[in-house]
Amino acid sequence: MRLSRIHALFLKELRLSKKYMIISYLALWGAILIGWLFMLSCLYGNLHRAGLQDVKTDVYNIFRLTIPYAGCSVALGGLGVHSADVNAGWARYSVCLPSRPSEAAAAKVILTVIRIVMCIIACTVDQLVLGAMCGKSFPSGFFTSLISLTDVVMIIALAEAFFCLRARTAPELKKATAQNAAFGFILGLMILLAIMKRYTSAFREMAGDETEIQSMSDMIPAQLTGDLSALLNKTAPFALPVLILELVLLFFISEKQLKAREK
Amino acid sequence: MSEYTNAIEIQGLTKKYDGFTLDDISFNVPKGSIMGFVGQNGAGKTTTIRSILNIIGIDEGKISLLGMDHIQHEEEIKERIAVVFDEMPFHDIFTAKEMARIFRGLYQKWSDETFGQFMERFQLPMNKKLGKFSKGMKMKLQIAFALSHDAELLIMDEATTGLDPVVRSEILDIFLEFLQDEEHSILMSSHITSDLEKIADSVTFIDRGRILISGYKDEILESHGILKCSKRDYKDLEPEDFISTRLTDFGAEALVSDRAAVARKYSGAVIDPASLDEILVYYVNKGKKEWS
Repeated sequence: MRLSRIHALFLKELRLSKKYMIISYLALWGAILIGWLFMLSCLYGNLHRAGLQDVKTDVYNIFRLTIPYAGCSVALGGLGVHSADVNAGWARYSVCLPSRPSEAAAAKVILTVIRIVMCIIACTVDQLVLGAMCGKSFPSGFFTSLISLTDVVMIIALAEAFFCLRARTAPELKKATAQNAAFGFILGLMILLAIMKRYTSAFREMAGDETEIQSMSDMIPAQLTGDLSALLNKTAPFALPVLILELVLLFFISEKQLKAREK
Repeated sequence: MSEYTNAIEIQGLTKKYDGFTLDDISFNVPKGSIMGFVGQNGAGKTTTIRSILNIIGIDEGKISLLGMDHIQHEEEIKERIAVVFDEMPFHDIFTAKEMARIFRGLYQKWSDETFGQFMERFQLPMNKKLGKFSKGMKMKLQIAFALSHDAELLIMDEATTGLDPVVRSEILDIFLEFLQDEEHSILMSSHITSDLEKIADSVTFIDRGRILISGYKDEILESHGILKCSKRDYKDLEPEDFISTRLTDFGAEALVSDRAAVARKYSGAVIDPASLDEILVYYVNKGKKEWS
């Protein structure tokens, strides 16, 4: 592999992703700022004057969970560079260039890593500021939880690479996108059904309970949050190795699919 | 420069699709020459070129570019060839300057100076988004990129289609300059035979996935001719002397592949020179023998 080619292809990927990255990163920071404003309101503003007891903790919990999820979506979502390549004709033309599929794959993985790092930085800053406002110390398992979440969202990136990178023409891409969407739908459905099967009785209990909902923790079954915490604790040691493995997989899947020839 | 006789050698190329087959395509593009690859729409020109470039896999056959197998030495070959398609394959949001930066990293022999000279010659802006370029500008830009990394072989697929005569003439002049040192070669597919008559050294006609005729352009033009006679006189002629015959209300026009021999056989016959266009049309109708 030649570094100059990887650099050139990385520049191409970056240029094509630039608009999406700027908009989505700004949106992420916008969500972060909204969380901070809510927290300021809890401390000094109207929410404080309303005298709600646990609202500060609830705001902290809501944004502590949603911002990392938003961060992962920003890092790994909208990987539409390949569809832009196909529509421009570059996907076909690139076969005529002296670059290897491994170099193109490397460029894609490098950009993915940069996007993940940018979002980890945003989520970490958010956690530090939010925690300081709320008087909470920085959670010890924050990074591993964030990376575990990234591991899960990476499945989407891997699926997209597997289904879509092989396409060189618009009809092929249309078919590949449909296959990718079908895979995502089936996977999501299976996860939802698994959650429903396991926690239906807990949700039924909560539905029958007439206790007034006073905080976010009253809306989610304790069994679900307990199981999630236990899962995160169990998978914490493997979070980073799994992410590295997924990035390596992303490289090899991308290389293989970019090597494929049109029929 | 490495030693090779033919810039492109194709032997027995076969590619099968439902409803269409590239069938046993064989031809060579000698080093230092331009070959015109001519055929109707859907004849197989683009499929052949995509096979040469390994954009599509082939079912049978052997392809060599610059003396090397087109798959085993793919990377080295692609460093030394340039490709121009009928549509510009660059993203609309890029500028020429940004694309040049990318190409600089891709090709070892990329020359910013040469690229700048072409951009100036073609009067193309470096900082304008490519989506705002006209069709002629896009084609000139592709050619600027193609000729800025010291490529030995230029492969073009319908590159002059849709361009006005002034732009086409300008581009053809550039190609002639490209070939001056006889170290460079061009394969140019087109159905605009007038362009090929101006610059091609050799031509290959393809129709329905098969090669009709391949050879030096001047020899083909010299040897082929159209014999014109009345329908009554035509009946006295031997059909095997003609490729095909067009019957009109005014008489018969038959394409011959050996003008001199036919002129000797049918003394007094009127045999006019044929253009590449006419030769293609008559060869395409070879199966019918007589057509109108």
